[in-house]
Amino acid sequence: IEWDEAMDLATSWLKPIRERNPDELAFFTGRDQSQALTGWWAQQFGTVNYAAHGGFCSVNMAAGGLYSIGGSFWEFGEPDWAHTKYLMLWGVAEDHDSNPIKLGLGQLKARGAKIVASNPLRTGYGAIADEWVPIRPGTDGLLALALVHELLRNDRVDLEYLVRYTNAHWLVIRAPGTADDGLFVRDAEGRPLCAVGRTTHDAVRFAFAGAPEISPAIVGEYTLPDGRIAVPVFHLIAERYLDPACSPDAVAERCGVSADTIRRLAGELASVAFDQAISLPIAWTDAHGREHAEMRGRPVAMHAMRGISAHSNGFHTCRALHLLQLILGAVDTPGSFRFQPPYPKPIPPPNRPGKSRDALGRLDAMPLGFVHSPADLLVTDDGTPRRIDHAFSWAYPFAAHGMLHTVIRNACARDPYPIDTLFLFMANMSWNSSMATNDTQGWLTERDEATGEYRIPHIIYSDAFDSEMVAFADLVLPDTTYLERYDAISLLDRPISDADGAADAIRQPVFAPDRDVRAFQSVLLDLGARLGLPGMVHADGSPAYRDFADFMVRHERAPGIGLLAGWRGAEGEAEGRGAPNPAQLDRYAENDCFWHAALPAAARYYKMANRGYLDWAATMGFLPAGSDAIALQLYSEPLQKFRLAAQGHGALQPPDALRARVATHFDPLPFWYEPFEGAELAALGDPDPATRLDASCARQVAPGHGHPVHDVRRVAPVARQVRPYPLSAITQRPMFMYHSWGSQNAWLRQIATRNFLYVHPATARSLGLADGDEAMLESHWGAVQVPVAFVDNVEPNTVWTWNAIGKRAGAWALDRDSPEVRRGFMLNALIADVLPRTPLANADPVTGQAAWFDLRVRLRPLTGPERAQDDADRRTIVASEKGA
Amino acid sequence: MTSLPPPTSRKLGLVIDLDTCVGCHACAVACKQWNDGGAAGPLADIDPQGAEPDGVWFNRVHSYTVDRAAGSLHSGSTCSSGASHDGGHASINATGGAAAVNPQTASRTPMTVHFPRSCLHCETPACVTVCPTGASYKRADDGIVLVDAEKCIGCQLCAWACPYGAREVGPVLRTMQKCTLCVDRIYDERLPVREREPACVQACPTRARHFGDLGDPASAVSQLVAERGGYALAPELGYAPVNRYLPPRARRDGTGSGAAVPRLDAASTTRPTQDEPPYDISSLPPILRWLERALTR
Amino acid sequence: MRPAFSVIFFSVLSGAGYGLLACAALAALIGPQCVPPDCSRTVPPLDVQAPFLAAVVLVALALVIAGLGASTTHLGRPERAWRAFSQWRSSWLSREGVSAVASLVAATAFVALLWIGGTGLATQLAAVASALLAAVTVFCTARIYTSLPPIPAWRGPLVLPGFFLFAATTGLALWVASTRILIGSAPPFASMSLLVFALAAAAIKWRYWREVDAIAMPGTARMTGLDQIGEARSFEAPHTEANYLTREMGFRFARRHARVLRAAVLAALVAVAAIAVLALLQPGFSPVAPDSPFPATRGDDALAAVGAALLVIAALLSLMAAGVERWLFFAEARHMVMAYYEG
Ligand SMILES: Nc1nc2c(c(=O)[nH]1)N[C@H]1C(S)=C(S)[C@@H](COP(=O)(O)OP(=O)(O)OC[C@H]3O[C@@H](n4cnc5c(=O)[nH]c(N)nc54)[C@H](O)[C@@H]3O)O[C@H]1N2
Ligand SMILES: Nc1nc2c(c(=O)[nH]1)N[C@H]1C(S)=C(S)[C@@H](COP(=O)(O)OP(=O)(O)OC[C@H]3O[C@@H](n4cnc5c(=O)[nH]c(N)nc54)[C@H](O)[C@@H]3O)O[C@H]1N2
Ligand code: SF4
Ligand code: SF4
Ligand code: SF4
Ligand code: SF4
Ligand code: SF4
Ligand SMILES: [Mo]
Repeated sequence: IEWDEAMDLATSWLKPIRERNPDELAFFTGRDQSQALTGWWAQQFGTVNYAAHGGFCSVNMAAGGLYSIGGSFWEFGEPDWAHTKYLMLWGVAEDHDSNPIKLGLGQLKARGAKIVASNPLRTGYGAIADEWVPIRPGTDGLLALALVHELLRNDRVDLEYLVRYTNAHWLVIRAPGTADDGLFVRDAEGRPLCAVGRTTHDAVRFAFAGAPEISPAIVGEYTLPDGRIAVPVFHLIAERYLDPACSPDAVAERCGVSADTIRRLAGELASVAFDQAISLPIAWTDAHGREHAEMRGRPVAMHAMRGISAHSNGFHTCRALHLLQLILGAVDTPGSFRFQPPYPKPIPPPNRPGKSRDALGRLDAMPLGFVHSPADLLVTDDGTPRRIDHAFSWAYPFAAHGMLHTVIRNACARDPYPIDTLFLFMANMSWNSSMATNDTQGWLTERDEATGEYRIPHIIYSDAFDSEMVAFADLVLPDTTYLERYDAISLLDRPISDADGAADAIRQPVFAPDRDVRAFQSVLLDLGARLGLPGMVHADGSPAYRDFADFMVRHERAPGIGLLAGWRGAEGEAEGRGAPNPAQLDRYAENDCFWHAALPAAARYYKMANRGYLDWAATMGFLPAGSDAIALQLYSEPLQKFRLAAQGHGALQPPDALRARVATHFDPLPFWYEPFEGAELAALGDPDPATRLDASCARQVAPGHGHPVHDVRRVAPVARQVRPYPLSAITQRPMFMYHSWGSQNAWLRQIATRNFLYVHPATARSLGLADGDEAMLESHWGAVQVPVAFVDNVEPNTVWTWNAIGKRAGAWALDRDSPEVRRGFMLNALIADVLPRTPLANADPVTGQAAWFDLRVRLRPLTGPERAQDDADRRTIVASEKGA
Repeated sequence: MTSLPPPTSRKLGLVIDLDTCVGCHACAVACKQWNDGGAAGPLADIDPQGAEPDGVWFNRVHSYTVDRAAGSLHSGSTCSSGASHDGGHASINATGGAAAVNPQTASRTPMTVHFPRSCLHCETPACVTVCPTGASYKRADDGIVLVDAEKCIGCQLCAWACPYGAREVGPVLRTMQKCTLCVDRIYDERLPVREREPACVQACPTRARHFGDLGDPASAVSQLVAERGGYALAPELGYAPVNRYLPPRARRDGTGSGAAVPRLDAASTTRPTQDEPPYDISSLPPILRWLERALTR
Repeated sequence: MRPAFSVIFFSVLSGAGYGLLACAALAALIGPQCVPPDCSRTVPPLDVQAPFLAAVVLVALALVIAGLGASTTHLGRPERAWRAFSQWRSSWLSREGVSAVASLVAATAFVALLWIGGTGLATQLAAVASALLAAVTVFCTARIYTSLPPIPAWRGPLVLPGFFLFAATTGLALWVASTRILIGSAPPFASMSLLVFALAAAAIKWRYWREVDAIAMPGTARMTGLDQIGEARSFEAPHTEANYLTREMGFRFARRHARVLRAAVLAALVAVAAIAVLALLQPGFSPVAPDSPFPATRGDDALAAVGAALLVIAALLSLMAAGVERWLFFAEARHMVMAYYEG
């Protein structure tokens, strides 16, 4: 159809929705870099049902970091490549900063720094690491906490750093059973307090924990003037992690890493951090105005990504890594992990998710944000989720990026309510970015038994290519490619800064499209204008913005703050803040499309407590003017607030069925628990086919069902027993392909068109499999036929393959007999979107992050009849096994 | 001309660092991109959307796993402390098939090595002497081995004569194609000096590829080779490759050699804050040992 | 190595052609003296043979040209084939080309002289040149293969004799059959030679295959230099689908098929030898030479036909043996580059 018709159609669907109930539009976008526009658009439309892809990507990293240190791994922080002597990579295959990481690794190699890779397999970055720690999937939390244990046990902890930059000395109320148990002791102004003075004598007094020049206690029990008992955070940390349950010997078996190795690694970390500490001759001023002649650094850096986050225990594991970094004094010091501006932010960041609509139908804030306490949740009075993806509900309270992976099932199941239009952008949700792929395809097309109508009445999708998802849309908005349009890589979205400065960038069209396509962002603004959305039309109803390029230049999020930070002000004289500059895009074009504002040398480290940085960040609009130091949060009070609610305190409490789940997982200190899928399968066996959630979305049991509570307080390994799915199965990104769209590139296809299941030879042989055999890989959810390849660079209990190589016949302009179609396979159809026994998402209980890598499988040789099947039928097997 | 030139004093070539290569294929793709549009192109793409996609590449990246032999430079003689899958394989059981992993073999973790392969610009290569047309030749002034596409009859003999798999024919040109050492870049005066380097070298994100004159002992590449023990591939074949590979460095992973990092216990008396006396770990209740610690904010 | 039919055709046909050419040339030179037991009576003098020889040389030329023609289809740019003559100083392929052309010139001269009934020195010189150039060309062909270090199977000392023996066997088989059919009797010396060459070819191949089987190819670790660390195994190839290298150098086929084919070659060669023995015992009778002195066949047309047919079969068998041998020569030869992919 023609564009005009398409726009009319979209308008005709969306206009009544906005008038009736904006929440009936679910607008979910993918790995785009347009969230500064799309999030704002959703806010203007007034729907709470907006999210981007972070919920299935790595929100555990983002939230784990932002609730702990105000910044995060992912693409928002980086190792100090120039100075670090020891880099630990935790579950990183490629990451977003892939070229900077590779450059940095090359630099480290040239300098002789040691690189350690914790990963069940050894490829890519791990290949060049000095040491490969072949950890079992989902157990990094145990390893990290055992390292913490060893460091504490040997008193190799940077206490000075802890009291200066973290909340180690903040006092925590110890009053079990009361409503303020576990909260910080605060003064009348709400400021946290600590104990100072000779702690064994009666001269103890309580002081503002953020005050300079005090000598805070970090252990001991203190009686507050009102009689309550309080202990410093560090005391709780020492208590918990010195427990023998956290010792290397206790965790070695579950991690698959020997206790000796753990002890050696702890020793190496301590030795490099403390005995080989470095110092840069850079004078700086701290947040209290005190001057320091040099910058001392702990040259131990860490980087972690989806190997940590894509597990249902990823949030706490990520926090465990930050804890480890912090006790080494190795966050934003020379040689350690460094923040990239605009990070660090206040912890947690102040922006909360939008909840209510104003007179113009706008949400009071952007739909995504950070929950500080139960009051910020999007739930109804009885605790029912208010969002279609159940983000910010009691089941996933800190779902800061939303939950793209639950939208389709829930929309189909009308859980918690029906939606009218599902609007997707740049996410191949019927294929490589969905869990339970085959079922998801069913939900996209499922009809209501009573009315015969589609359960998801309208699906609008924008893609630049002929992806698998295109076939499932009622209306397709063909997008340009990024070579044919303007884009803003904005600080308001996913910044491309480095640790030495802030940066943003634009893309501009390199050639004119040769097809009838339109840039999605411009189409979205056009649609907004047709709908008369606030901010998108002038008073006379005419469009406020010509197109996205115009928006990039003229739109102001807050006074002086727009999508692009460079060359602001009428003459382009301002950076960060300033009036829109009509010639801004020309300035970018003259500068290779990049803007980079270098940090003053004195502002480059200790950003959380560096006056130079805090002031600079204020001028840029990253932080409020005159910000105090940001105290890094070893102990997380927002988590404790949820735990208290679950324990029955406060007006807002979780539904009973979720109490235990919330109480357990909202531990203010990091802990480790068995990833859910494996734990449920191990404890309860294969799901009973009768009670099992089957392919129909409608049989999804409404949330509120209890979650089997694992004994999580102690890091005790789950009891060994007969496991129906003894292997972990994970994926990795191949360095040369970008998700599903590499396959439309002729050259990349000349590298790989098919994938193999990599299996340790010992494992494979014990299963009666030979190198090159076809085998059946089964999870509790589905099965897929796979070609087996032997590799010994994998932890023997893990099998793996490359991500998103398999393609659906008919998509991507590939011939139907392409190897991608006939031979390639994906694990997605095996990855259930729900847990084996509990009717909740296969996700982290804190953040809702999709637990892709919790997948448990078994592998077996093909039987005779299966072997006779033609390869082309591989996907049929998947479907029929599921149906059975 | 098919006869080899007298030994050249300049020996331009590549040095590839196997210690640093992460196997990203960026060099291979950059090579294809540069040469597809360059003097040596086009590099054919066969069946681009179909069942048997194929194409000509001058540079291809392999990956290997390497079992470190006991006693080799790359592992220590004592392997007992290596990261081992100690006993944990018991979690795999009969229902799913037991993976009885031999802890002996598991204790010294295998290495993964990425290995880019392109023409080595050999000094005495049979790929030149076997050529019946003179299309395959070695330049007298810098030693680059090239194919003259105008002369080549596509007999493939030179490809047979190359042990290193550096030559390919495609259906478009139907003549032999191979790495040109980016001869159309490295001498191109229109390019800024720092870009007068092979495309693959420029593209390598880890800087695992180096380009220079291996005939000049003072050149940066020669020194790198000397420092790192760079080696030629299969020199026993008599081709005298010019390119060098830098071997993976010894892995400091606790299995023995390599500059070991001290152990925690050995150094545990040096605490981060040196101004205070060390504690005897065993003498105090673990937590209270921090009670008297005077810390300042 | 991929057994390309063009190259197999070329080397088998040109080998046979050169063998035949050499036989004709030798016959022209020494024919009258050499056929026992009674040369003067059983073999017609050169002038009688001339049309026959001319015909045979034409057949030989046809075979060589067909072979050369086939070989150009192996070229990506056959239209430039002429360039291949330029590098005779270093390249055996170029030398082969030069020599092949020279042999064609000599053979053409030879056939022309025979045609015009020449029996003198010129004809003899042309015969000498043809025979020599035939040998040189076969030598060059063999040297093309032996000069490729990455393919150890082609480097051994038996490759060169192998090429000669197959050229000789196929050429002789054709020669014996043609003499038998066209002039009525197979010269016993030729049959004897066929017997010897066929058996020698079989023996040489037998030895060759044993040697080939024993070749230890350098492994992945050696070819990558990773042997200084330990044993290397391919984890991922640079491409999941076949490419030029894997198709051209990575040809593999099952060992048991190879055994069958090897046995077939040996059996064919033994059969050829056996037929050569028969030809010795019964050199021939044909309408062209009704007064043949050998009583066994005299006047027995049926038996003569069988004898002739057998010799035709021997010629075909020898060509088949050569074809299969050449196919195996490629198919079983392993190129070192595959160490980067396999193992
Ligand atoms: N098994 C398994 N599954 C996974 C993962 C895993 O590790 N293992 N990883 C998960 C993660 S982290 C992610 S981020 C997802 C990625 O999954 P997706 O986000 O679905 O990834 P892509 O394949 O990049 O697909 C995005 C879609 O955007 C389209 N597209 C590309 N460029 C443009 C453009 O300019 N405009 C528009 N409108 N469309 C465009 C593509 O054609 C494609 O259809 O996969 C998830 N799925
Ligand atoms: N070339 C390329 N680059 C990309 C992408 C791409 O598609 N192609 N996608 C981009 C996107 S959207 C994302 S989200 C990032 C993701 O970047 P990464 O997080 O680097 O991506 P993954 O490939 O998911 O790698 C996860 C790694 O964790 C390991 N792992 C799995 N489970 C565990 C575990 O329990 N413990 C440990 N320690 N390791 C584990 C896996 O083996 C793998 O090496 O990459 C981005 N960069
Ligand atoms: S895909 Fe783009 S952003 Fe990612 S590494 Fe490649 S060039 Fe950089
Ligand atoms: S690597 Fe191969 S193509 Fe290159 S010079 Fe050496 S033998 Fe010739
Ligand atoms: S293919 Fe071309 S370059 Fe190679 S040997 Fe033949 S003519 Fe020479
Ligand atoms: S030097 Fe040039 S031609 Fe050779 S591999 Fe590198 S990019 Fe390719
Ligand atoms: S670009 Fe560099 S790191 Fe990547 S494969 Fe090539 S040599 Fe290795
Ligand atoms: Mo992602």
